[in-house]
Amino acid sequence: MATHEHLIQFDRLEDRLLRGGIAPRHVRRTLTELREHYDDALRDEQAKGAYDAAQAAWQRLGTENDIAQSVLARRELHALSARFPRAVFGAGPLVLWFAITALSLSPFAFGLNAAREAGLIGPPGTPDPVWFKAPFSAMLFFYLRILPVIIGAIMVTAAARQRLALGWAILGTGVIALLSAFATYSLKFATAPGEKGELTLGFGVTAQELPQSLGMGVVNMAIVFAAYMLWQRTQRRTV
Amino acid sequence: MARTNPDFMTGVPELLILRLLTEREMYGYELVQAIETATGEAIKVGEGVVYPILHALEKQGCLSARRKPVNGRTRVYYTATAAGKKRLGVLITEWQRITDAVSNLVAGSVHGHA
Repeated sequence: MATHEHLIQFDRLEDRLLRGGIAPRHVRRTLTELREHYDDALRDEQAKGAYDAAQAAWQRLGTENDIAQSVLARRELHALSARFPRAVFGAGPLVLWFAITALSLSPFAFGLNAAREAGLIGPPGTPDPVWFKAPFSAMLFFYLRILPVIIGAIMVTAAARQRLALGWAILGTGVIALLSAFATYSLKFATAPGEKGELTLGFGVTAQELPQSLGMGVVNMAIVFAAYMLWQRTQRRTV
Repeated sequence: MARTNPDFMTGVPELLILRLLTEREMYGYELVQAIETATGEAIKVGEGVVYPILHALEKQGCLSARRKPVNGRTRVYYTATAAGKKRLGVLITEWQRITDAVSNLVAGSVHGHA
C-alpha cells in the first residue's frame, strides 16, 4: 500500500497532467498503472528486505517531474479540448445541439411522411396516426428545451474536469441556454385524408414574450450550474 | 536512488519496448524487469516513464493492450501489432546506421592516436 505522502504525490501528478492538457482517460490510466507498478515494486523491495521499502519503490518510478514531462511531451496523449478549447467549448455546444436535434428529428419527420406515402400506416393519404402525436411533441420539447441544458452541464463539467478555464464553456453554454429559450416550433399533424404534416423550427420572440424567454434562459443557466456544483461536491467527497 | 539514463537517445526506449513485446505480451512492471535483464542492467529507465511510451505506441497502433485478471488484480498486458513490428524494423535500421557511424568514428580516432 502506498504511504500517505506517496498518495498525495500521485494526486499532485494527476492534477499536473490534467492542467497540462492530457486527456482525462489517459491520466486515469497512467495513474492506475503507476499505482500498480508502485505496489509491485514495494513488494519486491520488501522481499529484498529494503530498510525503507516504500521510499525505495517510489524512487524506482522516477521523479514526479520526469514522469510528468514524459507524459506531457507526448502530443498524442493530449485532449482535443485542451488543444482547441475555443472550438470545443465555445462553438461545440451549439454544433452538438443542432447536430443531435437534426439527426434525431429528421428520420421521424421524413419517415412519417414516407411511411404514409408508401401506405405502411394505412392507404396513401391517411392522416397522421393519433398515437404518434404525443411522443413526437414530447421529443420536440426534449430536443429544444432540455437537451441544451444537458449539453451545457456536460460541457462545463468536462472543462472543469480537465482543469481548463471555464470561460469558453460558460460562453458556449450561455449561447445555447438563450437560444433554447428563444426557440420556437410549430407542429401541425395531418388530420384529414390528403393533408400533410408540417414541422417548423426557428428562433424568435415577441416583445410580450421577451421577459419570459429571458427568464427561461436564466433558469437554463442556473440548472447547468447547479449540475456543475453537484459534480464538484461529489468530487470533493471522493478526494 | 538507481541511476537512470536521462539523456538517452530519442527512440531507444521505443526500440527496446517494441523488441521485447514482439516476443511475448507483458505488463508494465514485467517489461521494465525484462529491459534490465535483457540489457544486463546497462540501461535503466525511470520505471514510471515507460507508461507514456506504451500509451503513445498504442495510440499509434504499434501496440495493442488488453486487461487480464491475474491473482485477483487486473493488469494491462501489451503486445506488438503488425504495425509495431514494421516500426521496429525501421527503428532497428536507424539504430544500426547510428551505431555504425559512431563505431567508425571511434575506430578512426583510435587509429588516429595510435
